[in-house]
This record gives sequence, C-alpha cells and structure tokens, in this order.
Amino acid sequence: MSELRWHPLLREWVITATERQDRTFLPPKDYCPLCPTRPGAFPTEVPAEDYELVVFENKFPSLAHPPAQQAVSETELYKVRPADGVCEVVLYSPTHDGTLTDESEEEIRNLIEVWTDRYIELGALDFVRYVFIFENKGQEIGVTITHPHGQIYAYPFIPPVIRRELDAAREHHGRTGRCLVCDIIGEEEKDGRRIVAENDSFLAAIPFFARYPYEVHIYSKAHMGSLPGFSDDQRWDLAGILKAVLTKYDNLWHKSLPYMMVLHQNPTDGENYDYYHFHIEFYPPYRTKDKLKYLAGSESGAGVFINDTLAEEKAAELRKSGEIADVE
Amino acid sequence: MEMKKKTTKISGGRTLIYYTFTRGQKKTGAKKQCPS
Repeated sequence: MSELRWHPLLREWVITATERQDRTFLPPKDYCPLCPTRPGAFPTEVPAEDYELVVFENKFPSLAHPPAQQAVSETELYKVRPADGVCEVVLYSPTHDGTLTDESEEEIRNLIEVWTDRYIELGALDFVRYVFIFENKGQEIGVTITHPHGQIYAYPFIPPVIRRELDAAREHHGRTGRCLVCDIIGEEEKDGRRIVAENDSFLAAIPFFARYPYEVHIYSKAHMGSLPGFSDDQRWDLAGILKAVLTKYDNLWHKSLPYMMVLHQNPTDGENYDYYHFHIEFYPPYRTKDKLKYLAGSESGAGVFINDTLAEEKAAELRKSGEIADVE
Repeated sequence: MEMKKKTTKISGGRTLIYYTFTRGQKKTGAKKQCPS
C-alpha cells in the first residue's frame, strides 16, 4: 500500500510505501540482483549475461503508475493523494565491485546521456511534475544494495527543496534581473577560495552556504535549466568535472567516500522556469575521516544545519586531493 | 556518439531498458587549473 499524505504543518507531501519494508537488504555478492544473470546462476533483475547501462522500474517503488492502493481515506484536514509516479533504478556498470568513480569519463558521458533520455521521457508523462535524478552511495547513507547504481524518482509534484530554490531564484530574478545561481557562480569565482575544480563549462565549489563539511556543488557556467539543453562539449565537460570531483572525494582519505548526489533541474510541468539554473549537489556524510555528520535535533527538528567546518578550509583540502585514483 | 535503447519486460510487468553506445569523440581543449 502506498499514498501521499499531506503534512499540514510543513505543507508538504509524505510518501508512505509499506512494501519497501520487504526490499532486498545487503545481499551477498553472489546473489546481487543488479548483476547480470550469469549462465547457471540465479536470475537477477537483468536477464542478460552482460550490459553497458541499464534502467528498470524499481521492484519496491515509492511511486508507481498506476498507483498502489491507498491504506486510508482522507479527511478535511488530512489530505490523501495516490502515490502516482515512477521510480527507476540506473545501473552504472555490470561490475559489482565498483563505484561511479571507477567509471571512465566516456562511461560517465554515456550515463549523462541516459540521465537526459530519462529526464525527457519521464518528464513527458502527464502525471509527472518533477524528474529527480540522484544517487545514494554507501551504507552510511542507507544503501541496501552495494552494486553501483543511481535512482530516478518521477514525482507527481514539485518537491519542497526544489520549490524553495525556485521561489528564491524567481524572487532574485524579479528583484535584480539576474539569475541567482549565475550570481552564486560569480561570487565563488570572485572569492576563489571555495573552488574545488573547474573546466570550460562547469565550476565545482563548496559554496559559501554549505551545510555539510564536504558539500560540493557543480554549476554549469552557461545559464541552462536542464540536461537536454547541453551541447555535446558541455556533456563531455560535465563528465570530466564529475570524474574530477568523485576522484578527489575518494583520494581525500584514500577510501571510497559515501555521498548523496542530487541533480537539480527545471520541473517538467510545462511552466516557464527560465530563471532557474541546473546544478548538481553532493552531500557526503563524513565531517572527518572517521566521524559522521548526523542530522540531529537542530537539523531535523528546526531545519537549521550546524556546519562544524569552514567551506574555505574544506575546499582547500579537496583542491589538494589528487585527480588520479589513489584508494586503498 | 550514438545511443541505442532496447526495451523489454521483467518480473511484475516492469520495464527494463538496455542502453548501448558507439564510441564517442572526446572534446579537445585545455583543462583550466583551479587556484591553489
């Protein structure tokens, strides 16, 4: 059973998805459901002996079309809506023991092509308002299958974090006539201390306002709202800067660094969002090599992040971290 | 670079898509160095 329950205090949707309690949890390598199906071995989700990139509908979705049966009826105060949408899994590689960092620039370039295709196809569905592409990496983040993969949620509404960014960008544009993210890029370039990596088309920085110690944002230098607008050269540059940031993360402490990676793009509800600006955000959960940053009372209960570090110092660490893989 | 898609159905009537690629030409150009 699954539904959207309206949170009247926060004015946002909560998804209930009870079947997900039964989802696969850290299976042994020989029974990984995301590996190719080897001859004579158990059948995985992918009925092929090999693959390059694969996308499939999640077996344990939070959102589905047609939506799952609702467990409750709504009242005047407690609104309920169908959990209508799509949840997809994106397999980066047939190799079980790998991460996105291990992929070549060309393979990441191919992944960007897949992201773009899914953004267009899912965004064209009449019940989808927002296509959210993301990756949870590492058991510290709550990953239940370690095979390298990302996810896509096609929501029937604009998620609240995106809504807040859109409102801020629209207000800034109305007041100044400029793009808010373009101005953020300008501030970061002017200061320089928080820049982590850069190429012709993208800037990677731990921004002034970072909430996590190693929170890197990747901004497109051109004012673009979503992946389909990027040129071939820009897609290569996005692959290049992703590879650079991912490698720096792993080289920081010579271990594979867990993170959440999220793509922020225009909604797909048919409205005009010319004032918004594509970017990728990373939230690694570590504040030191062996200490996690927890979302505790202030962060979870008040929405106020406490960052124990200075973005200027953490960016300097990542700048020094090499772009050649050096992981134990 | 050319991308091809092949769609099939898996358990539960779910859709699975195989993506394959021909080798692409990487852009050329100097990489900017970030300030140290």
